[in-house]
Amino acid sequence: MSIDRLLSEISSGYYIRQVLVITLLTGYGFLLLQIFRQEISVLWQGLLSFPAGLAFYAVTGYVLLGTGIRFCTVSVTAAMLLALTGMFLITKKRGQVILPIDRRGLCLILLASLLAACLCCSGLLSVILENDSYYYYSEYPQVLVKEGHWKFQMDVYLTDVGPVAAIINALPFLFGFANSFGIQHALNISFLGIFYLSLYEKLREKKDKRSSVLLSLLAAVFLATSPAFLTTAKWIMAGEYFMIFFFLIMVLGDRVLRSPGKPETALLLALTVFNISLCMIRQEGILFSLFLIICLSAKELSNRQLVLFFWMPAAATAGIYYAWLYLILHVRPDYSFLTAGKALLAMGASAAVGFYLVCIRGRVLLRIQEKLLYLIPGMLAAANMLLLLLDHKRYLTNLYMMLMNIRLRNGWGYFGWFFALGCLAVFYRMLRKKEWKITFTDTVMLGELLMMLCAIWARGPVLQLGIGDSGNRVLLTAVPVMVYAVILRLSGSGQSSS
Amino acid sequence: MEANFFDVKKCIKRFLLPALFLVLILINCFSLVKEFPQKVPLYRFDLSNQTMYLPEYLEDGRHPDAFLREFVRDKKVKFYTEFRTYESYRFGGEPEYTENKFQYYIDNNYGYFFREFSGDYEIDPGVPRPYTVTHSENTETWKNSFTYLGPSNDMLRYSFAANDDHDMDRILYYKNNYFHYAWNYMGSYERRAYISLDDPDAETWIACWDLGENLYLMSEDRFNIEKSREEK
Repeated sequence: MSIDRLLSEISSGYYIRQVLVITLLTGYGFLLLQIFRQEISVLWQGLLSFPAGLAFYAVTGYVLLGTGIRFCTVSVTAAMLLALTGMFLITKKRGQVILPIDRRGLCLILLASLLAACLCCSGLLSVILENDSYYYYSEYPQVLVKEGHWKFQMDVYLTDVGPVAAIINALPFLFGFANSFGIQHALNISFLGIFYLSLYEKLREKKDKRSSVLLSLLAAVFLATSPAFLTTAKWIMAGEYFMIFFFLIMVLGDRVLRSPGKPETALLLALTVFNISLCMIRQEGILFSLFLIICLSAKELSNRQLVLFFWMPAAATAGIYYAWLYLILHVRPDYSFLTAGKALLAMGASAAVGFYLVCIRGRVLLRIQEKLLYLIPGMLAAANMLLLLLDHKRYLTNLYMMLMNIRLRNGWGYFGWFFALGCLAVFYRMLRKKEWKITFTDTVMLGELLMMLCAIWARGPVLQLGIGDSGNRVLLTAVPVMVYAVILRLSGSGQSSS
Repeated sequence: MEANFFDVKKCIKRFLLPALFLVLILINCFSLVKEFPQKVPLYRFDLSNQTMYLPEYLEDGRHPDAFLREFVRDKKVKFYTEFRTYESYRFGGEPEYTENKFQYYIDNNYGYFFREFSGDYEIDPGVPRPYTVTHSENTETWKNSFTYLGPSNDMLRYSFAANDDHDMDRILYYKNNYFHYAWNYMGSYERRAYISLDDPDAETWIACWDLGENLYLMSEDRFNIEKSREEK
């Protein structure tokens, strides 16, 4: 029998199962958002459904593993159904009005999702595969499903693969198919829609409808055709999920407040789930999550909301995982990305952010806190200077390699030139119109890039030339945020203060 | 005239960014067609192949374990390994084994792989052990007639995740450690994975391997034929 025919026989049923999983996760996410649906538009609900459903699945899986309950098809499905039922009952008990489920909306979302899933799983859209895709993001998740628990022998998989990335890539082995290509493409499509909508709403604050639609659409198409975006979007690893969850937290965090002090509950729920997922999607995810929490603290969310919905879930998520690795399993790979020392540093950073939220924010140094959006990139720039002083050779080599990778278009296409010209145009506009006020988006973009330089320095080996270098791939995940921030600046939108 | 000038200026201002984006999109498309496929390893699967293995991998022997993980997922695999602990190798064993820590890996790693990824498995003493396979006349026949899937070094390197033999006292914890496995399998001689695809629909398969860690996977029927031929 030819290998083609054999693979075809093996694949029997895989396509429909992956399509169904995507559709059902979308439906689940839609129902989740329905709990508070009167607060966000149908369009937002529709676009957020799959990311929310996927993130909630990942969080459920994480909770199962973290509590030592067997991670398997039955437990995950049961837990997700219980959680959804529980949330409906709790909100009903609290006397919140539960309108009938928008059945028409649900049918439309399911249909759209089904069609999109059919395309995403068809193989029409190519993927990028490397050795790590086969072992870290396929074989390890398969072992995780088989074993049902985190185990000592998983060794370097535990320290090098973000647990949420492993859980997401475990979907094929939980539900009877072989790869997560369709899931990744479906998330990309949702993301591009969210990118368009969030940009449109921001531009609409200052521009007319036609211009906003045109510019947002072109920006989304630009992103969708950019090699710098596609390299991450197509690569079967954790980068795509990191890129999307980070962006989602930024845009949803920016719009979570309809009016001062009154956050949209549905978005807070979505943000919590995305934040937990971001924490553990890559081993350095917790640091970026804490960074976003500090940025969000510049907004008019209360300390209680920041602690309950952002800080505590992030700290607990990371703490549980580190406890498993170093207190329960005692893993000690000879070579690993995450070490006990780094874990301790991460928890220390987490404690520091918690201290800031509880004891400092809104209480002391108020004048300084008013300038938080300036302080954040300033402090990160200072941190970079410190790293430069600590090991200037490593820091400068990383910077040089980063620029060379961009110049040689290793995964970047011509994005480097576009971004450089865009920044020049932004500076020109800032000078002409005296738009010196930094915005939330500016801070997130600058901060993310500076944090990435720190993370690349801290990982150990210097950045290498080539598309496959992990540092290069980490930088590529900042592309959507960079595009978004530059467009807002160039169009004069997003200039309102936090 | 003045009104017209301001209209034009307004028009340029309004459409400058969109026009710029159109140009950038065209440059992107050019880059996608001309450069992108050369820069990144792009793969396209299709409706009929929903695995992670492409037929073209067979030509250059890539990712044999991606194929095997899928192939044995619903099958029963019989092999012989006792899953002896590392400790037992330190203090000797059967005469044909030397005091050799690599013997631990030779005996166990394929076993760990099939135990983890096959639908069902059975430890069958009737399946020849590595020493026997090495000295069997069948081996050359198998190498010539079976399909060669590719080097299995990575497959063996990553079998650590299925190895539950670890010394809780941490004296010898490294034995199933990724690094130790990596050192053994990277940059050293090629281990080869062979499979007989005479009867791919067979439910039960036999996995055996030689002292060079070359894997021979065949259906039980094929194995019985080979066995009776050798006995003659």
